[in-house]
Amino acid sequence: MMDSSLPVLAGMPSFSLTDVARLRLEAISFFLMVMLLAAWGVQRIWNALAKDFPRLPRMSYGRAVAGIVLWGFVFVLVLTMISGARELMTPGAWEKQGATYKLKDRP
Amino acid sequence: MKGRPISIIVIVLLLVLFVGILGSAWMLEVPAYLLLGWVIYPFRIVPMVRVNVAAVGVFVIALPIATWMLHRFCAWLWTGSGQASTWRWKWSIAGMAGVMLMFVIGVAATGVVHQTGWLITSPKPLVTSSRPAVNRIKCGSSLRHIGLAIRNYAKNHSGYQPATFADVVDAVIAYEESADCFVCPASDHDRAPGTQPADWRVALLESDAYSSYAFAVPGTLAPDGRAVLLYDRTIDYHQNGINLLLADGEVVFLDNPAAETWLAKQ
Repeated sequence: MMDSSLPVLAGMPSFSLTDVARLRLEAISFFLMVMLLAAWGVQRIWNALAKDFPRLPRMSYGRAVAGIVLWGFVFVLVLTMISGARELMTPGAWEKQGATYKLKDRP
Repeated sequence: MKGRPISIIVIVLLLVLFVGILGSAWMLEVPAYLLLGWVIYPFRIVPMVRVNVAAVGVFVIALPIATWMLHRFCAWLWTGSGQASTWRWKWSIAGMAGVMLMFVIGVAATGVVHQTGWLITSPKPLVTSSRPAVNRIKCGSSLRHIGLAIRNYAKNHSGYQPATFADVVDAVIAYEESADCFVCPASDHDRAPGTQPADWRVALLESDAYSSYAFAVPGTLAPDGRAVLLYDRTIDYHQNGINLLLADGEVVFLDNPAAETWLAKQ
């Protein structure tokens, strides 16, 4: 492919993110947005129930976010425990492939 | 208090300007992608998602059954604990919606943790420099200068273009009064040593080490059919292609793999 319309650049070189970093940040941004929206959903459900159950305190959005962050940590912790248990139950059966693991081929 | 938001905006703008001057665009990109990346992400991911119709079917059937079972269980527990009122469907649906949300939150939290982990431990570079692009432009500019010198040569030689590399060297040294433009900044070539044009001429003709560009045998054509005068000796300068100086003075960039194929024929 021939390109004769070279852009004109001047000054010192700049440093920008690589595609890999951009894709990762996009994914992180998306999951954070999902968590923030889910916090809004949790707050709505909680406060709807609080009308019928006076013992439940009203929940602010900040507390809902704090609650889902706590739940998120617990979820990740459980998943980590599951992966540990998997290794205990099937030692050596999994091999690292890139950023994740796959079952080793049978000998 | 009114002046506070304005001063915050001014500070942020100054910071943006400062970071921009430093050439560290990535410092601005990180918060920008964190703030707005969620808009782009679904457009990239959704087309790649494969819908498992059977799994969706199981979910659609299981959800109302599970909600009904939850409702029956809660109603039994509610009545059994001596409550006078009845357990409402609204509460069961809210409970089931809460479970769904908890699952979504868990998946999202796992996504954040894993993506952050991969980002931090990535063996690939996270930041790239624009220097290769700048070098490519400078290289093209050097070739354009050589092209001007060659046009000047042709004007003084009844329209005939240089037939040998020595003619090119003479044309450039006479026109530019320097041999600097024979060196592509992305290459490891040195400028021709010496202080006099005669020194540069001898150096350029004796060794390839002082010219990043090879002389194209007259009749050599670019992929688009135009005559080539000089070209980058190797794709190693820019990694993604080579610059060609055409007989009409234009410089074109030939991308890989076309560049590799073209160079192999020379």
